Amino acid sequence: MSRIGVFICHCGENIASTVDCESVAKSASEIPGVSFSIDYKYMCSDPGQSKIKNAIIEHKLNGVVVAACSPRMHEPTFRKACAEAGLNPYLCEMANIREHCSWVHPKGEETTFKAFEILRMLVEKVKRNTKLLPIKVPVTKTAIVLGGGVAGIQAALDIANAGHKVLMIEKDPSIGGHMAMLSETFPTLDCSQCILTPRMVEVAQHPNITLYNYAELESLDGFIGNFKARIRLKAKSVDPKICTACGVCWSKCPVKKIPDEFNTGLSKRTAIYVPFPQAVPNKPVIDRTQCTYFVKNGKCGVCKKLCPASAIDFETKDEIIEVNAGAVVVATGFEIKHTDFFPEYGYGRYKDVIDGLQFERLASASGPTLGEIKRPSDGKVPETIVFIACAGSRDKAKGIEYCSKICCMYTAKHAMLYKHKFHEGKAYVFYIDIRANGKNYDEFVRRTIEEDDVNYIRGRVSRIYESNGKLIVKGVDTLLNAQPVEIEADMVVLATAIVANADSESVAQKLHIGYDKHHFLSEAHPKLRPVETNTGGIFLAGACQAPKDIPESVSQGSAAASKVTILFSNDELTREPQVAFVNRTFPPQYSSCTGCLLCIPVCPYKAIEKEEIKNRNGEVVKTVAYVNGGLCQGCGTCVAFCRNKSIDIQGFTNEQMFTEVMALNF
Amino acid sequence: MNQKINQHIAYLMKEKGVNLIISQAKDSNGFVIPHFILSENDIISSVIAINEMRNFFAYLNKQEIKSFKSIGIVCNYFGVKTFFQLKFENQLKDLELFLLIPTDDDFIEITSEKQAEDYLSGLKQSTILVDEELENVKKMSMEERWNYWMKTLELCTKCYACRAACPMCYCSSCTTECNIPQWIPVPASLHGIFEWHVMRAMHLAGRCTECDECVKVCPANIPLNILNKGLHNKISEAFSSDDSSIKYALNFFQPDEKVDFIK
Repeated sequence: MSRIGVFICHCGENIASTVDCESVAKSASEIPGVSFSIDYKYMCSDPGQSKIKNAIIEHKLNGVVVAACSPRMHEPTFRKACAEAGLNPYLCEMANIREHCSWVHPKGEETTFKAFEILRMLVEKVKRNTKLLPIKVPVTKTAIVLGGGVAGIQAALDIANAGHKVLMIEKDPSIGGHMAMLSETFPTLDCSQCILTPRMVEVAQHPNITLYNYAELESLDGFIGNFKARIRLKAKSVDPKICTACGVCWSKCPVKKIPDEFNTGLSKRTAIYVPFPQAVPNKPVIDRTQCTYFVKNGKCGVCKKLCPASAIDFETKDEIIEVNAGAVVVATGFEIKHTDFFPEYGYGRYKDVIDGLQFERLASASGPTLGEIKRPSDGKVPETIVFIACAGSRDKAKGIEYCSKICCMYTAKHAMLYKHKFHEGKAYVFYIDIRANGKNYDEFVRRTIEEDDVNYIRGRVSRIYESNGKLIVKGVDTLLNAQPVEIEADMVVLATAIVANADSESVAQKLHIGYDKHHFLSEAHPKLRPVETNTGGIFLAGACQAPKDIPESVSQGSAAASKVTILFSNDELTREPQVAFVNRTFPPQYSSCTGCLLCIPVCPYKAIEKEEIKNRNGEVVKTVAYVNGGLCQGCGTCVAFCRNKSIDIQGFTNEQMFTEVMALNF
Repeated sequence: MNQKINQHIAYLMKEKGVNLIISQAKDSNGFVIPHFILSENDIISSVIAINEMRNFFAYLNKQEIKSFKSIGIVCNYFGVKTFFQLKFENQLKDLELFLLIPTDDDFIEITSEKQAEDYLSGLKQSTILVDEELENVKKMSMEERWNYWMKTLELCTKCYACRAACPMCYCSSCTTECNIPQWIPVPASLHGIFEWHVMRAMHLAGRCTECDECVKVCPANIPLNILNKGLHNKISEAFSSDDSSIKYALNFFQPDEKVDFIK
């Protein structure tokens, strides 16, 4: 027998102004199975909740429907109230008569009728609700941080300082990411490496952090609290435990002409190398794609002969290790478009057309020019530099509609640094508009324009070509009646677009998380869940999600870390029981599932596996599908897919949905 | 069946422990029917053209037939396709099967998925199916099509012969038998009939082997197969089914698919 209580909320005037709540309560009391029905001004208030609790006890209710706002708002509130009164919380449902009714319709009888209909659907559903118990899953209190840039470093340090183990995976020989490459940082102009390297060292020395540099994630299986990762430790050919980083090997390596990735190709490195002097860990690796020993079958071996510690071993192989973790922070960072992306700016042919990152290395005291701005072609100090903002970004024709966010700021910084280093130089900036919307950002740009005398021209550059050793920049000044502008420059710096990593798609697939059309990784909700992904236990930090500057990356790193520590604050994880399950019936059928297992590939969360039903003698009598409740997110794809309806979502069964629809009076 | 097959059937039963052969024969009306061979005495010779042959794989989904464990089945191209699809869907477990496909005066024997795959890929069938009736329907306007189906389906009595004959309809409890909730109305009203056939076509999308058994057994001669063929062509156009990795387009998840729909 159903003994359902119906509680209609006025939500102040939000509902009551268009819906006659009193009459809805009166009609509701006449629905078969409803044994109590009232309306009240604020159901979610303390007295409102007490009314529900008292009614449950007094009228021995076995189902509750609260007709109020969206379940997104207050379902947890009312379910908790029911639980406190001794009713299983999943016997409480909400009828949304605010967003779905009172807010979108004018006052009138029809609106009241619709509210009643919505309520009646839920009453019929609650009649078929069953008691559900939360799912408990154990938590492995170790986090994987994927990527050792500034976002990953922040996340790792925060999690480690909270007392949990962290495994950091970095694909390069050193952590530090893009931030280690930068010269000064806006808007304060403090030296990037000076503020970052102490953090890098902290990561290396932290007792709770295990750093796997020169490593990549092979695969990730399992679910929130219980991930299993396989990590490929790429062969370094140098034993970091024995190596003293004395430097003999890289000073004697005969292969010296490899473009240095850290200096964006502006200098050369050797085949055995440490990417930069402050690298963490500061131990060399051999780049096997370039080393003579590996390219020419065992010839050379100079480093091995000279190494005083005998740390070099050409025979080491890639090693794959398996680790358990409870959470993953993805901080894989970004890439930029290079000058070869722009046919109108010379396709990368002109040596003195460089990208923003190359300018950072030129301006950096540890860079190839030791901080002097010298142009790459002949090493002369350029007398005129043109900076072009939005190179590729916000350009539909280039397939990049979005704003790369940091270019306005770093272009202002570049122009300022150039003027500080070479007072007689002329700097021009072509821009679409200036987006300087951070703390002290606009002041910084104003300073560049007003105090450092940088020429800002609002317009775009159509073409760059070389003539008599000069780069002719042809653009337009849209603030001067679209007058054509032609500047003879010695160097051009393109603020090229930030793009997702080339392997971002495959990383997303390994992690079973979403990505957008530009291959940036997707958050679960753009506003309310910006660091979570759609897969439980996997969080995002930094520019792998969208272009971000340093403070944003750091705050997101900390945010992701706090999500991880919240997850790790309990030994067991409680999951909502609204997950899919495969039905069971009496023998000889055991389950209506035919075991076609076509639901396994359809599940986006890899939550479905094969299960063998055994009889008492241990013989397999039937093979059916099985849904792992820890992994299932309750999306219902398998339910829609199953031909003979053998799968249902607890709390949202086919029967319940069908009854809701059939309850409508058309 | 031809002499070579009959000899082989005798060999299978004597030497290989096969205790049931589902062969084919013609009844007095010339209609092709199953012929069950339980011993060598049951072997008869009959002449059936390869395109006249039927697909009796539906029997293999029945518990009483499955209990024979080691079974031979005489079939044509569609039988091999069915075998392959049923294997892919994890049916036919614990069964030792011998597929016998007659050729001019010889036969081909298939016992494994690998052999079936080789046989099917060797035939190079076109991915777009051609059917006269389907072409007629495709020429109609939406309204004409609706009227066409209403008129055709009116003849259906929901005898479920199509379901019984279909080798891919192997669910132990069909959605039609589910009454909580009642997905398909029980009476043979036009509304319910329409729901039933549309649902069946959807359940067969990407799985149908185009053997046309449903049409052959339909007492009302409803051209049900054109629903399946139409769907097949749509899938072929959308997913280019010459990519053999796509075994079932409906649950195939392309790595470069955008996952916005999960949100």
